[in-house]
Amino acid sequence: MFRRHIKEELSGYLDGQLTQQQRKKVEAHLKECDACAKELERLKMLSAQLNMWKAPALDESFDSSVKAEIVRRELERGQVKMKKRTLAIMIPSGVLAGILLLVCLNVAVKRGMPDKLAQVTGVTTDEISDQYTPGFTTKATRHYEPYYRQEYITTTASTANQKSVSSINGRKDDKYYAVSNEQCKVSQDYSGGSSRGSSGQAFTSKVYAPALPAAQEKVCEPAQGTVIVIQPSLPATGVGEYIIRTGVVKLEVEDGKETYGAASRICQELGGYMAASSFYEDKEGRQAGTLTMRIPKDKFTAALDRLSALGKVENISTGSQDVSQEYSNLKAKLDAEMIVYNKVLEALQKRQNTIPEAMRLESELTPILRQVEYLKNRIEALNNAVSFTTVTVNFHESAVSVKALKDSKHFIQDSMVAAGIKSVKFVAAALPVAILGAVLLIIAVITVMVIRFLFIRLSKRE
Amino acid sequence: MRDLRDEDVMLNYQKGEASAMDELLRRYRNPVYHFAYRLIGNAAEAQDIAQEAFLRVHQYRDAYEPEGKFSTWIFSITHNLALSRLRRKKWWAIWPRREDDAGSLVEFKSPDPSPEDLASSNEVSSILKKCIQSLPFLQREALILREYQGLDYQEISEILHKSLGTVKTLLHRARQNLKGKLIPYEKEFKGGL
Repeated sequence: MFRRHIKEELSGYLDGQLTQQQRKKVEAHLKECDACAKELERLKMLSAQLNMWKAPALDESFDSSVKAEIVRRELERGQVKMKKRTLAIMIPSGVLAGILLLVCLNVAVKRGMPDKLAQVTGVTTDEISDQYTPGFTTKATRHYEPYYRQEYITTTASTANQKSVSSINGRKDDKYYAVSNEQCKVSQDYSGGSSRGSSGQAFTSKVYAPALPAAQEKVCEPAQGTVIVIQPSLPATGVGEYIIRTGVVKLEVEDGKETYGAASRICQELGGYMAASSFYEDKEGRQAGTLTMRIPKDKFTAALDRLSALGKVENISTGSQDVSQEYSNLKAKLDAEMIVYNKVLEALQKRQNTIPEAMRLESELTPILRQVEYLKNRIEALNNAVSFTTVTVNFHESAVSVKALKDSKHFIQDSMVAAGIKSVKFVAAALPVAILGAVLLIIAVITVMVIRFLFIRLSKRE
Repeated sequence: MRDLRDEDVMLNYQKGEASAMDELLRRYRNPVYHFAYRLIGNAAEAQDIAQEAFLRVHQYRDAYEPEGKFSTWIFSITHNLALSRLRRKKWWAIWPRREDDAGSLVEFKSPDPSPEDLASSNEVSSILKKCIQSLPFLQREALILREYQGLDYQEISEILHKSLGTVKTLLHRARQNLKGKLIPYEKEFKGGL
């Protein structure tokens, strides 16, 4: 007699998935139990009948479509993945940045920051932003150091040129005009008496010179869209050439007195001397000054380097004038005068001269002597001008004092903190409303879904 | 290539031999498709699932480890695809699509019978399809893998991620359930049930 049916084991027995021991047990049970034997027969029958369910045949194009899809996806993975990734980063970043920008602008406008800033500093916001323009701070002027090492050949230092300079610069024209005129004056001072305005070839350089040959131009990256520097290359200056070099640096400094001292020290350290200087204070107590220094010609570049690091460079220009021709002319004239002088002197020294003859010769000798002295002086002056370059430093303290700027900085920081606190408060206040809105929205969506579902079911029934 | 085991063919494909995919398709296109069809009950969807299964084989070819049987791996992929599709269908059933709306489309019957119709033209076949489709998913799957794909219990347990005991129970219940569902149609089966 058997104790219980083994129907659950029959499936495994039928499928041949039992162990040998289990199978023997089942077989022994089946010999004694008719019910389980019948069940096994039914299961066998069922299994046989299941084969009557035939699946439809697969499309013949299945293989080719799989392979085509593999190729398509491979291409897509290679080309689109990058795009998707980029978009996945760019879109949220752009949205976030836009929101932040709008919030900041909104807060700034609401707090009336531009007006308050103007009250604190006494200047408009535009001007303050100018002061903070990177590339114009004392340290950042280093970026612009190379641009005074530029010279290019023009026939005249034209005013039109300078006008276009101002327009390229895009800042207040009068400011730069003044600098340009000054610079023109300096150049002309050294072009000298008879050669003034008619010297054959003048070497002049401008920081913002517009009409340069394309090959010589290098355009630097504009810093905050305020400065465009075009850098022409230096012309070759051969040994023995007589070239007068001049440089003008205009600086905005924080402390005028300190700048004056520093510029004087630089002049001394470079082996130069101070040709002229002026120092003054305006009505608002801002210090300014002009230093004209003579620097040995081999230290010219170093001088400009060091001087421009003293403050925020507003303008820097160099000029050079080739006086070789003038020098040769003077020398030739001097030689000719000396020949005449020597001849007259020789004639005067002859014994057979009569007294009237001697007096006549002496009277002829005097103007020749004056001319010789004059020429010698001119040559000496040229030598001096060539061996020592002239560097002029114009400086003035900034229109907005450092203290005011610091105050405005603090004000901006305070405003930003206040705005941040305000926005947090706003979010905290708006949160319950937002949650309520979201809940209402969800309820509305669910309601619409249910109504639509019921409507469709109803229409189906109909 | 034809003499190689499935696992070796897959290894060749892993190494970049493109012709190995042809061999895999030749060997498994019908088993995978039939398995999907019997699970889902729709020829077009089954074809989609079968295609996707081969695409997954390609996509995850580097993840294949030759320790396991290839048949188990590909049926496991098919199982996952079918399961996710059924879940999606279940979700969409709550929200009927526009094209499912009654009266929105005029029913158009093709004059030519579809492959599905041809396969189900046999009354017994359609009864079996209906009854097997009405079984719970896991029971149905275990039954199909055993009866139609001829896999052993160990392979089924790997595909379904169930223990051997659970597979045994699933099969037993599937057969009992099916037997109960087929009783009303006993007359249709010539040999009886």
